[in-house]
Amino acid sequence: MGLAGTNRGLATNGPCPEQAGNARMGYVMTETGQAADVWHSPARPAGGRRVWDVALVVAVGGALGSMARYAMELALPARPGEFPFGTFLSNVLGCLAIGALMAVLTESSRPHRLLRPAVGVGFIGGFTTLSTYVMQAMESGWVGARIIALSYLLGSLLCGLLAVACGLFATRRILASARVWRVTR
Amino acid sequence: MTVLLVAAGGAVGSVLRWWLDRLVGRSVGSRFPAGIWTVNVLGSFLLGVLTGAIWLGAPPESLRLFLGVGLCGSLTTFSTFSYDTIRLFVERARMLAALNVVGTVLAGCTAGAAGVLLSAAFH
Repeated sequence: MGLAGTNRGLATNGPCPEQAGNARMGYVMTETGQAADVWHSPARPAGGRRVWDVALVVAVGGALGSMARYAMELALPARPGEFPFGTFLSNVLGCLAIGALMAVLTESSRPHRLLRPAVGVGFIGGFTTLSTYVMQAMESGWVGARIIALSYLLGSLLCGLLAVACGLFATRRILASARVWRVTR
Repeated sequence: MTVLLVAAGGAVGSVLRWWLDRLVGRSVGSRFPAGIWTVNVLGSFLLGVLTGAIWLGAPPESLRLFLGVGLCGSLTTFSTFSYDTIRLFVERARMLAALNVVGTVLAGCTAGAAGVLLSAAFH
């Protein structure tokens, strides 16, 4: 069992000193006992580490995520004044997925350096959208559907935040029980 | 064909988000997710300009798919915004978490409306 298995909090090992002011959660202990920043490390090459492959997987993930979001919009079309279920579902599902992904990244002792750029920044980032969300809410408001606008605005926020928390803690639970199962066998 | 326009815009938008997030995050250096806030507000403004143009005139559908659905949709993100909020909340930076939610939604709406008005002014 790796040291990462002992992590309980979100930023259990604290930010690296040089990044203390810009900390996102997601630090894991590497086997050498150093805190590795899984959120930033792939995007912040040290010692001349290449980044072009990171940009490439972000682009491919973003293209796929955007196509998936477009498919949701085509499957559940909404005119201004109607509740945009397509974008709503994209955003909530994306939030669930980012929670699950970050649990995997913080719990695994050595995550692949392209996992977060490809799936988190690229695919899930491209699958979810804030610009369409605010414009849809305002368009609904402008055509007089105030209740729809407000319920979409607040409903997306609430469901999105809940989905992140559910994805994060449920995945962490599953990973922990899988680890216990492996150890006890 | 249309889906390829969305894919191309989505690829450009997400690389732009990744690059701007690093750039802004590095230069601001605060716990507040300033990089994601910036791309979200910028993308909302651009989509506002495009939405205004669509209402007033009729730019080709291909432009809406590439710029609106693809680029602006992918430049902005709801997942990282929500994740950052939960992270700040769990790290007991509750004020920053609340500021992120209110600040992003208010600034996004304002930027989108400003974009529509700008489009109208230039029409």
